[in-house]
Amino acid sequence: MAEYTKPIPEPDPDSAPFWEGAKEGKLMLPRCVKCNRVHWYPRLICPHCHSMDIEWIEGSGEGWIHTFAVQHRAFGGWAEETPFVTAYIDLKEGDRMFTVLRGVDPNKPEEIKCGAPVKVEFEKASDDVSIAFWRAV
Amino acid sequence: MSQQVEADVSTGHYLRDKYAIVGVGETTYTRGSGRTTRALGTWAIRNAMQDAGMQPSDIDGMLSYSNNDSTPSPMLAGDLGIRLNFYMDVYGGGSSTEALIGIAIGVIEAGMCKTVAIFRAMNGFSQVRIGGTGARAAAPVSGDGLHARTYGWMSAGQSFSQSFMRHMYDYGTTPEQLAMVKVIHSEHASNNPKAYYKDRVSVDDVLNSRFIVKPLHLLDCCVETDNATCIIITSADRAYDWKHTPARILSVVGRCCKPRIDMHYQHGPISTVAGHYAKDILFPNAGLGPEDIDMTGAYDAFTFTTMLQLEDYGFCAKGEGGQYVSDGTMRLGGRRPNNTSGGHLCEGYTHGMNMVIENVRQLRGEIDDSCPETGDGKRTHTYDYSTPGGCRQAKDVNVTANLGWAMPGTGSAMIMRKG
Repeated sequence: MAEYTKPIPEPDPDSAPFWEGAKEGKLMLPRCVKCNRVHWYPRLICPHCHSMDIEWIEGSGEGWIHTFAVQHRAFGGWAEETPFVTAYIDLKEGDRMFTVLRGVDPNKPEEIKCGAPVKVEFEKASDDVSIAFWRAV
Repeated sequence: MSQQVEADVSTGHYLRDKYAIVGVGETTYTRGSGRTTRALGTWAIRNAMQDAGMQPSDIDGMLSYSNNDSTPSPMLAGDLGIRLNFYMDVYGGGSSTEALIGIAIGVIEAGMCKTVAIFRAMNGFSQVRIGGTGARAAAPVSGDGLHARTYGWMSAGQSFSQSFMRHMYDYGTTPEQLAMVKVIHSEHASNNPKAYYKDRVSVDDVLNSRFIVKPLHLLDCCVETDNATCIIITSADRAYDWKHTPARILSVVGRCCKPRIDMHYQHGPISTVAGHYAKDILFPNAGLGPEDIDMTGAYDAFTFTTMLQLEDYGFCAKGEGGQYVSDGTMRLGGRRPNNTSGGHLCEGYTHGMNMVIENVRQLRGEIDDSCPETGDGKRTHTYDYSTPGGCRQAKDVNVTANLGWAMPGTGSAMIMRKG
C-alpha cells in the first residue's frame, strides 16, 4: 500500500465508533434514540432534542451532491492531488457531510451536478484510521 | 421537533445614536512591513488619536482582535503612555470590528471607561497568512480539522467556495457578474493613494486569472497585507470635543449567526448567510431600512462575500445579488457605492476595519483622495471618478452600513450617520 501522505485525523471519544466502523468499510452514524434523528458530526448530546441517549447505526452509504468546489490550490499532501473536487453530501439519513468527491473530472466541472447520487467508500490511511470519501455513481 | 428554532432577535433595548466614532487611523498597507505588530498597532492608534486631536489621557479603554497573530492591548497602551481603565483582547478575524464597537458601547455604558480605541494589527502577508503555510499547517489534525484539513481545507476560500457554487446553481449567478465586484472596487482603489493595488482591472482580467478554488479566480480573492488600523469610540455627549464631525452609531450587530454554526452548511439553504438574521437587528434598531442607506461597506474577502451579504441584508431580492453587484449601483457615482476605498480586494486586508474607517471619512466628507488640498487639511472634491487618481468622495453621504463577514454562518454589521 502506498503511504498515505495527506493529513490523518486523530479520533476522539465522541467520534470513536465512526472510526471503528470506517476500518471495516461501514459508514457509522449517530442517531438519537429519543427523537430518532441522525446528526453529523458525532457529539455527546443530540442537537435536536438534547437527549444523551445516542446509538450508532450503520448508514446506507448513499447520498447526493449538495454542492461542490474545485480545489486548484492546496497544502501538504493534498497539494499533489490538485485539482480535486470537494463537496457537501446530503446523507440519505439526514444532515450533510463534507468530503473529497471521487469519480468526477475536476477539469470538467460542468459535468458535476448538484443532486447527483454518490456512494461512500473508505481509504486506509493508517492502521487506526480509514477515511470516508464519496464517489459519484 | 426541529432544532432549528428561530430565535427572537428583537433586542428590546438599544442605544441608537448615543455613541460615535471620533477618530480613525491606519498605517501604510504593505507586503513586508519590516515592523512588529506591536509597532504597527501603536502607529495606527497614534494616527487615530491625532485624527481626533487626542492626548494619551483622552483614551482609557482599549479593545483588539486577532487570530493569535498580534500584540495585546496592554503593551501598546504602555508604549503610547496610555493608562487604561478597561481593555480586552479577543480572538477573531472578519466580523470582529463591528462586534467590538458594540462591546465598546457596552463597557462605556456600564461606566467602565469613557473612550475606547479599537485596533487590529497584523502582518497578514509577512508573518501569519490565511492559508496553509507556516504554523497553521504544522498543527495536528483534531476538532474541526477532522472535517476540514482531512479533505484538504486550510484556507477561507477553500471552505467558502462550496456555498458560492450553490448560489450559482440556485440562482444562475455568473462569474462575469461577480467579477464586477473586483472591477468596481479596483476603480475605487485607483482613486485611493493608500491602496495596495491601484490598477483598474477588467472583467476579462478577473476571468483570465487562474483558479484558486473554482468558482474563485485569483482576482476574486482579496490581497493579504501587513498593516494596522484603529478607530476611537466615545459617547455622543463627548463626540463633539474633537477635530472632526463624528460618525454617530445608529445600530450595531456583533457576530450574529446562522443555526448550526458548528457546521453552517448543515442548515439550508446554504447560500443564505448570517446577514439574513443580522438584518432583523440592524435595521429595526437603527429605525431605518436598506433603502435609507447611502453607502455600504460589504466585506470583500471574496467577490462573492460582498454579493451574498448585500443580498441577505435586503439591498436586493434573494437571488438577485449578481445583478445588483454588476449593474453599477455599487460604483462611486452610483445609487449606493460599496467599499469606496477598494476594500480588501484592493486597498488591503484588515479583517474589516478599513471599511469602517472609509465610511467614517465619507460621512465627514473628508476622504483622503488626490483632490486639491485647501490648506486647512481639507480638500476641494471634484466628484469626478472617471480616471485613476481622481476623486473618491461620494456626494451627499448621510447614512452608511458596514456588513462584516466572518464566514457564511457569522456576520456583524453597523449603521452610522453623519453627526
